[in-house]
Amino acid sequence: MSDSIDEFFKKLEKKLREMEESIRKDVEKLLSESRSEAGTTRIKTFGEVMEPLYTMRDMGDRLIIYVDLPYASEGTIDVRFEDNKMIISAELKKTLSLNNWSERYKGIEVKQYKTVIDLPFSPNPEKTKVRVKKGVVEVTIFKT
Amino acid sequence: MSYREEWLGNFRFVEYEEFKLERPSVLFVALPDTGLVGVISASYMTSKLGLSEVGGVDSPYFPPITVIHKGFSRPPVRIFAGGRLMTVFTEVSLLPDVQAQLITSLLDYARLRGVDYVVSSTGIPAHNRLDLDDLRTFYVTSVGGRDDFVEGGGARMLESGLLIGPSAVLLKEGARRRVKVLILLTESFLEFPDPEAAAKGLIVFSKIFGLKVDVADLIEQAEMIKLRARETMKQAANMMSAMRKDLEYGMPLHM
Repeated sequence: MSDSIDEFFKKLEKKLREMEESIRKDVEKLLSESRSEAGTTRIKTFGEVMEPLYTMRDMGDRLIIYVDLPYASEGTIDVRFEDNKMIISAELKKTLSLNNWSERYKGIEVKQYKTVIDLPFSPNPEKTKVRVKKGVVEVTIFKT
Repeated sequence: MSYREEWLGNFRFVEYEEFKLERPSVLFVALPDTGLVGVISASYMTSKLGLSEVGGVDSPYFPPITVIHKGFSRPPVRIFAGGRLMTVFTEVSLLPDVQAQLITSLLDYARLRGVDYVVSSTGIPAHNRLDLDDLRTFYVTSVGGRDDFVEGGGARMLESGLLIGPSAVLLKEGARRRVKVLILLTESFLEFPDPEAAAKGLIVFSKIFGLKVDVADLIEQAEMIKLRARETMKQAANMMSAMRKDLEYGMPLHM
């Protein structure tokens, strides 16, 4: 009898710990979202990787994402999906020394574009279309 | 070197150099807007034509910013002049109500300076911009209707549509103040810098006003300009989103 009571409390304790962990994660997520909504500024720094500009349009039956990749080498553009994230990267035609723009960027060289875009759903890679024109990547993701 | 300053509304107009524009004079205004078409055009034309920096505009309503140029502190909105052209532009994205007030004061400044035409060459978002190779430039004036002088440059009248942002204020206030305002609108990307559209707009602008602006370098440097303009575009896109700039894609119900 006492064994089964111990077992019950062990299970209960485990369940409570899981609930506690889940609530902690939810609260952290909410706090992080509210911080970003409140306008927390992410200081832009130049490193080897640059974040490209992108925009998303909901066309009803599909989502179209445009990513601007000027000076990218077309053959190196890579679009991948992981759950509800789209990861896009591309190498620049040549490593760019930012010292040519301003002395303040001395020693900084940029080689690649990369960004991760959150999607409102997990796409089916077979129902996506990618085309590149004028240095802009157009990714069409069909919803059904 | 001279120094003169004057308050027009909430804006302090400063002139560091005496200058006189030849007639007919043109004031080219550019604030960050669709595809940064206006700012790219103004910046390129200013360098290409070798215009001198003659002044600037500052205001307590601007963010606390100063532009450092060759070791000198300059206001965020800069004024360049040469021949019969004056360019006024900034890369700083201003709040919509500050933009509207600034445009109004700029029109007063143009009147005080005896400017004949106030021009803005900006972008108009095109749904299928990616597939457009031959970009069209539309126009609308503060006088309204068809204008043979402008059409001679290759622009076509914007029959209907919505304009949102600095060009809308220029047009409305220009009409109220009886200043000749010309808005050139070249098909462009909305949220990506579009030097190609800037080049097309400049071709039309230079044909209309008989100014020689060779855009070959602008087209050649397009990729680098796009790359350098990323952060400015991002700031402008945030401001455009606040102004509901996407409504320009729409069609007015009553035609």
